[in-house]
Amino acid sequence: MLYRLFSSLKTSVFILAFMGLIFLIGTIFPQGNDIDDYMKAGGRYVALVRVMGFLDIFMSPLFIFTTGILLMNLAVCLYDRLKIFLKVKRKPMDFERLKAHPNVSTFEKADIEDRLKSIGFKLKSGGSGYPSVKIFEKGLQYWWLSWFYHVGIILAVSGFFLTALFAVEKAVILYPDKPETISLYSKETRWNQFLINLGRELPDKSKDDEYVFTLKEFRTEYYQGLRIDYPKDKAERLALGIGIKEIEPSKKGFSYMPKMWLTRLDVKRPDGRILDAELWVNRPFRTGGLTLYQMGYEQKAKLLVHPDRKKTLLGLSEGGKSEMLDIEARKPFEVKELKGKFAIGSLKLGTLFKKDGTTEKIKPVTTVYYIPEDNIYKREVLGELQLGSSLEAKGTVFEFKDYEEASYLSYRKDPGVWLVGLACLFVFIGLFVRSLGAWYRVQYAVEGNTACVLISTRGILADKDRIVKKLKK
Amino acid sequence: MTAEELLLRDAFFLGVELKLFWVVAFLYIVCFNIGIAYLISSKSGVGRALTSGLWITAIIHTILIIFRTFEGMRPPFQTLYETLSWFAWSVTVTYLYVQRRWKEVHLPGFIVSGISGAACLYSLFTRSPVIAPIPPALQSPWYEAHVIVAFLAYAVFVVSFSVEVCYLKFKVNSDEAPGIFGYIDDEFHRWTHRLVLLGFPLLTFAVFSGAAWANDAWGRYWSWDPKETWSLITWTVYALYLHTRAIGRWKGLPASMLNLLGFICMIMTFLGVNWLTKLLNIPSIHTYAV
Repeated sequence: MLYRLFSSLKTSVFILAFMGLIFLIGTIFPQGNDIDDYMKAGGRYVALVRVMGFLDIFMSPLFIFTTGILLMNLAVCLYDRLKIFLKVKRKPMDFERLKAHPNVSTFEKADIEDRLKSIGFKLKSGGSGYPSVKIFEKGLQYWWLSWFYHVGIILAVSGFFLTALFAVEKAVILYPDKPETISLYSKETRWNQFLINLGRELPDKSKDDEYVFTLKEFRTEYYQGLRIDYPKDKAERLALGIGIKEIEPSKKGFSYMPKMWLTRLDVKRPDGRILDAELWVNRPFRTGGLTLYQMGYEQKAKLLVHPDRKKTLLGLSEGGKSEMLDIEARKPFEVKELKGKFAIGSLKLGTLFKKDGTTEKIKPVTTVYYIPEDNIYKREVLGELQLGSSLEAKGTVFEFKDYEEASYLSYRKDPGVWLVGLACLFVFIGLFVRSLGAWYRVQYAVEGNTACVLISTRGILADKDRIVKKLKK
Repeated sequence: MTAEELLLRDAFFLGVELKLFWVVAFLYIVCFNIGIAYLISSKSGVGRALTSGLWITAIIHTILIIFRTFEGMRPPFQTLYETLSWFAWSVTVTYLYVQRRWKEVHLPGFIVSGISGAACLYSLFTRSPVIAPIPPALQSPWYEAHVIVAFLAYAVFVVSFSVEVCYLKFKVNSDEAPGIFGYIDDEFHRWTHRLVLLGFPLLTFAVFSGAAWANDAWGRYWSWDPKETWSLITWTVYALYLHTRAIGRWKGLPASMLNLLGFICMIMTFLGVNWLTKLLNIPSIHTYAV
């Protein structure tokens, strides 16, 4: 009973539909959020969300259970089909049925068998009786392809589980001349947590997995790009489209478009060897079990802030007490006795690759924003601020004194990735050949001088008419 | 030429390209209106005008795509402005390729021109046409393969959806079929299956190549980000469609419904997920695609 249930295609359909529903829930509820954050954001159904684990649904018992059921269904189906495929016996249809079939083609000449062999068909079964119906086939057997890519799916899901249980992923921020020691060992992996829950004692550190990183260079590069004041109004956009107005470069100048973030560092391995590593976005560095990725950068600026002061011809006028602030780019900061918050954007520094092919060192520059008290999502642009210069806004003078830039890297050890990669290759090739590859089965019999031929096909590239034409030649 | 002169030249070319894009959008809308006329009149001549109109639009759109490629010196599918244009173009070209098999069938062209026209107008009204060089996140050998194959899959699914809608229309109004569309009724249903059969491995490759790319860029092949999860939902729905086609009693209307649902999921993956993440304030790492 259970075997029949799990080997049924209908069961697969229901499980897949349920999986689809779980995926959908995962896109509606913010994954990884705390239940308190969910309640603060006005979330309803708190009890349901908590019990079902909707905020971490892809690690919830519901999801793991459903995936387990799907794997079981796949495994039983594969076993069931394997038994059938290994014993597959091609039983030709009865001659009278073949003759009466609506899709049967008839040929006057009776040398069909030789023709079929000459175009690559192989005899698979010769029927008994007279006239005997024979079966010829050509192409990769689609049922095996289908079987293999379903095996691939099982392997891919197993790889997912390996990743979920054993992967270690952390981030490190590297400042020049400040070496950082990291470890690929973590007590926090799901597997280690499972062992701890079983009562096993695990060490806090493992010297065998420690690496030391020393930053040698971090580089940011920009392209010079066209900046236009593209109108927001739809009618004005239409006016540009029909030629009433023309597009012109913005009077605010050109734009800086990120070209590359590159890190050079020394990597000291657990065996003591020191490697010279170079990596950038989409080009990770790999050694041993470690993979190091360029995620971005962290920038800090020193701003001297003078409240209630104004720029005058003679310098800065008297005002409130000045304050030196150490602030991080893109993070809000406060200025004493001023309402709301402020923030600076990413610092633009490094090399600019200009349109005319020349390069230029960028004088560090950033944008200063004001965040009103009543709308923390709003960013009001106060102006641009270059290193060594000042900006007056909101009754305050901001002086850009200094900056610091660090490389933001992430490192990872993932024992599941090779299995997922291999499985994906398996699935894709199987699926592609199964969908596109041509497979033909010809059942034919000769009665007197007339041959009755019935052709069935699989695969998008299969062309029944082409075979009929070849047989008629 | 100085950098300033080069920027002026870029602005000029951008203006020319923008005008051409408006012409393309206008032509799609004209085709859509011819499609409405065809739907009402069922006259073969009007149907032929719709298909011819789509051919002309596709040719001009191809010129636009080539122009944008030379302008940016990179593949023209980086920003949403560009991908919407690329989407409309791939859908139309795929439809015209498939349509060659049915000489007197023009109705799916009505839906295709509507979808392509809407994509072009959405791009023109809501996005900036400015050309940016490839940012660090997109500088990957997986980038071109992932986007080209994903949009090819989308195009195939849109055509399958259009043909499926026509099939359902005949199923509901079966008395309309003879005369205008002749034998084509059930043939449509078989074609939607063949199209999904082609689109499904392409979508599978798009998901896998996206995962491989994410593994190089972020160190994680799968993050359960809303865009990734929606691509998995789309994949699951089309997998369901293909499975139901193999089950006797479900291969008719239930399979058709799943094909329509697959199309909705595909649109959600491409565009709707951006709206959903904003609406629900869910962070997404695919912000460069917005």
